[in-house]
Amino acid sequence: MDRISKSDELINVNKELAFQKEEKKQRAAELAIANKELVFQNAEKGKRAEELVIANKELLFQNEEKEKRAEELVIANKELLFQNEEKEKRAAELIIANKELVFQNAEREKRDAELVIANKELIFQNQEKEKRAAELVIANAELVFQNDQKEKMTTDLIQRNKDLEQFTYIISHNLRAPVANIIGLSYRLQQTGLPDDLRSQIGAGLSTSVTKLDEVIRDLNDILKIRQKVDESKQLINFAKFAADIQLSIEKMIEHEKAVILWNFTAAEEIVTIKSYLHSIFFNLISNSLKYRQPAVPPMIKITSSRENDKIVLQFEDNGIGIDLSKVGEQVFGLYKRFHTDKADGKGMGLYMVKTQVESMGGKISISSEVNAGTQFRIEFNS
Amino acid sequence: MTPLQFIIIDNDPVNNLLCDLAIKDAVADAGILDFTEPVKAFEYISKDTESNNNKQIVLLDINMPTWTGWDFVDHFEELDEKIKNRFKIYILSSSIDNNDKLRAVENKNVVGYIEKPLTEEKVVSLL
Repeated sequence: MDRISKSDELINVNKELAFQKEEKKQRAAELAIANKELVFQNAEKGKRAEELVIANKELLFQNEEKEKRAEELVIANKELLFQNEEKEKRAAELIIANKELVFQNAEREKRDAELVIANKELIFQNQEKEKRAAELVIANAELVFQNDQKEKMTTDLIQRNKDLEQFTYIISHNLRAPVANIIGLSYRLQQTGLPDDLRSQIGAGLSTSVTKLDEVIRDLNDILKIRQKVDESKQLINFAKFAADIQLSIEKMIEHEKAVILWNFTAAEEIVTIKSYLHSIFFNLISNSLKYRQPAVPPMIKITSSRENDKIVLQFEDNGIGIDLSKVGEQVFGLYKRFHTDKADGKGMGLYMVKTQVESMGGKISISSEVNAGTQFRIEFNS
Repeated sequence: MTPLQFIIIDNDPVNNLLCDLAIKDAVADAGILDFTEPVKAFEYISKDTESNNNKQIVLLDINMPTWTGWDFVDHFEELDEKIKNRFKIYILSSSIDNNDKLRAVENKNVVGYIEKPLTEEKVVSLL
């Protein structure tokens, strides 16, 4: 017994020990697991702590930012306060200005109301005036027509009046002057016992006066011929040939004065006109240039033609003594007007005839001149 | 007694001869001066500062070259009153135009208008 039991017991103890060993092993394994768990949790906490540190830093930074923002807001706030005050002031001013405007508006409305009334009145008046204007337009058209008619008649009458004035002048002055002399001289001739020398003086005076009378009558006849309807028919005239013919006809006069006549008719070579008038125009203007030459300078006459629009223009230019037009003006073309008594024997007929002839053909003549430099005549012909 | 002085201004010598005869018929001892150029007559008149002859009659034609009778009268107007008072200007014209007569009458420097020819009777009427 003992031995068996002891062995059994040993076996039992052994078993117990094995079991305990097993238990310990298990516990150890469990501890190892628990340990591992703790290690893991520790690691986790470590990570969390790190994250908290970062989060903390972030919060600190944000705090600082917020403080800065707060300071800025304080400044902005002050600025807004200031602006607010300004705006209040402005508002107060605007209120005053507004009141003023309200007052002015009221005034304007009154004024407007008055203007509305005045306007209506004006509209009414305007309508009346328009009616009147329409009536006047019609009346005006009628008057314009009548005026045109009258103007034509007036121009015609003025021209005739001028002609008549000219004739009255001629009759009362130039025609009567020799007649008055003849009356006086013939009265003297009736006296007995006249000394011989006086008798012959009277005879010479009578002769002069009768010749003068005849001259004026012939002039009148010439003028009347032009004034009559132009009966001579127009013909084509070549300026160059025409000028050459005239030059030939007054060759002696030109030689005597040692004059030079130059012409250039290339711009307008021909004209259809009344030959005898053109002859008179050339002859009178050329002989005037020779009569009123400068004593020391050989006369030089230039004659040129040109075309301007539908007109043929003739230009006569000399280097003569000229004439002071500021003194005599248009009288230069007047009948029996003379300006150079000491220079030449003109009787104041030439330029009058030229003007009359130019105008009877519907043309125009004008003069420009400079004393001691020369004279230019410009004649426009309707071509 | 200062003799009458006549000044004839006319470019027509025949007229001046007739004037000379008519004046001599009317006033035998009259002085007669004639000018055929009005400018020369004006020069003569404007130089007359010494004579003191208040009896000078000017017979002035209208229709003359260079100066007409009216031009002469216009220049005369510019002269000193002393000189002007010595001369009586008459227009002597062949004109039978009434406008010339009116113009003569209206001009304060012209005393009268005489129609040509000048005769003894017309001269006497001026005295």
